[in-house]
Amino acid sequence: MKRRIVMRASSPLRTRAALIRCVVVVAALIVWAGAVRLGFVDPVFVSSPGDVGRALAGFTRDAEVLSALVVTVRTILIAFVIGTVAGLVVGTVLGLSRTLKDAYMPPILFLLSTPKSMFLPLFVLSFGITTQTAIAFGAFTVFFYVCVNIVGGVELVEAHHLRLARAFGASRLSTFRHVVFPASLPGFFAALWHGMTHAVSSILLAQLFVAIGGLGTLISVYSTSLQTDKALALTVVISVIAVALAALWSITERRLTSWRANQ
Amino acid sequence: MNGKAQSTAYKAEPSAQNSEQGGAALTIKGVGVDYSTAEGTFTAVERVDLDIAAGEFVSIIGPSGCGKSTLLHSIGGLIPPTRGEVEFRGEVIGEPHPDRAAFVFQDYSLLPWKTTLDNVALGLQFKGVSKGERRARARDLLRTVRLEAFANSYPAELSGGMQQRAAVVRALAMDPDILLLDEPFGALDEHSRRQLGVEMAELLTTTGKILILITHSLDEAVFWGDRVVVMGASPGHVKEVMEISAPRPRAVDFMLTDEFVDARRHLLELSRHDLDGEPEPAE
Repeated sequence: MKRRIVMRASSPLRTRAALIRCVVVVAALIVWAGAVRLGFVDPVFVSSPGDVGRALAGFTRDAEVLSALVVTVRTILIAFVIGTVAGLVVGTVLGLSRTLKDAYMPPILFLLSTPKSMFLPLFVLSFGITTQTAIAFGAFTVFFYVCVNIVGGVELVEAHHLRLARAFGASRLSTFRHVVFPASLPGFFAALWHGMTHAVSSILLAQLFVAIGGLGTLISVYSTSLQTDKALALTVVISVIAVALAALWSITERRLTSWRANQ
Repeated sequence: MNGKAQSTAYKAEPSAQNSEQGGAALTIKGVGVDYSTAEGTFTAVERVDLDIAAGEFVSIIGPSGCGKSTLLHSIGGLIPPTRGEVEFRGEVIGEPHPDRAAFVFQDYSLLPWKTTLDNVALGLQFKGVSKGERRARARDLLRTVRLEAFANSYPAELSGGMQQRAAVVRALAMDPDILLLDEPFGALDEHSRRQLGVEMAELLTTTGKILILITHSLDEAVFWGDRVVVMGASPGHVKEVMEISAPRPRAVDFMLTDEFVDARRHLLELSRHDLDGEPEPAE
């Protein structure tokens, strides 16, 4: 919700907020560079802004990094799609059926609040040190977030809107199309959003801890071999991907739920 | 009370006006509604008998919980009666049928994700009327309530009064035989309420439709109604049916006549003595 409000703020306010944000980032970079130059910290462990920048530039010609990037993005997408489809189906069914919701929501909510990383070793046992481990673990994690948000979205359908549809002679299909679906759109977008962020984090986590290739594994390799500049540069790459996804998401969401603009 | 505003006892012979207009078009025959709750069966409406003639305007008043909304929902087919039945021109009303009886709800119930135009056209869309035709009809109707400039606005951008005008023409778009108004002005402030009331009086009372209005306002009930049905609570029943003989449409001046003042005073006394439920506030 906060994110929306910031994006809707008037433009002078937005410019000022952006400026303040930049000041903090620039200040942090200066302190970091200064601390390294003055010898307060060891560049072997924290690198320096200049080195990280050079490492970043080097990535564009680095076949190892580029192929790891492709592997990671592909794995994230596969896990996201599997987990989201499963979560959508199960979430819609649970959302529409009182009984099934009462039966299955407690265990789902229980697993949702358990740290999913606990289960990673179990996935390794089942799938071995392969990309399938990351995909299965990612889809498993994504499923819970999508499912819970879809159920929440279907709950947003208001009784008086359903009554209206009945009073005006809507068929079941019309009721779903014109009332249930639009009312659950915010939950649907929240579901996709949480699904995507958890797909990214769970895949990277799996790649960090299980040597199956991809950016996560590469970060692990770079940091254990003290190539701190490259490790940090990789985290920058991952952040940029995450921010780009976020921006794409909020634009799509705003376009499809424009009626909420004044609510 | 003498002469001008006559009170007829509940279950009286069909009124003179009804027989003049050739009998009832809408017949509410021994309608009762029970709800089953966790604590057992709760009777919302015990038994209501009412004959309503074509073109008649009936106001229903009563304390909270007297089942007046439930009764209205039964008339429109939204809540099936537990006992008795509702007949329109000899046909039993079962399911909601917006061509026959269309609702205007207290909370407007405009869909926030549809524009005002598409909200007005909603019933026509459910009916399968083509996009061009239903939009043209909706546009014409919006013009009658001076909302044409807001056709492409979303409900959230409209004031309460504007939303309710849109909800009224959404019901009119179905060209129903019966218009069911469930406290349509209840959520509005006093000023908007009066203004909208006068505007709607002109629009609605010239349609020739049966109009049934649920209201908390004695003024509204008397100003609009050919008859005022007074309901009592625990369980819901009809206490009295009162005729207001002044011809419609009525001008604002009608509120200054003896008939209006007498009728209103009588209703006030009735509700004051209503020990079944909480007394109605004067306004």
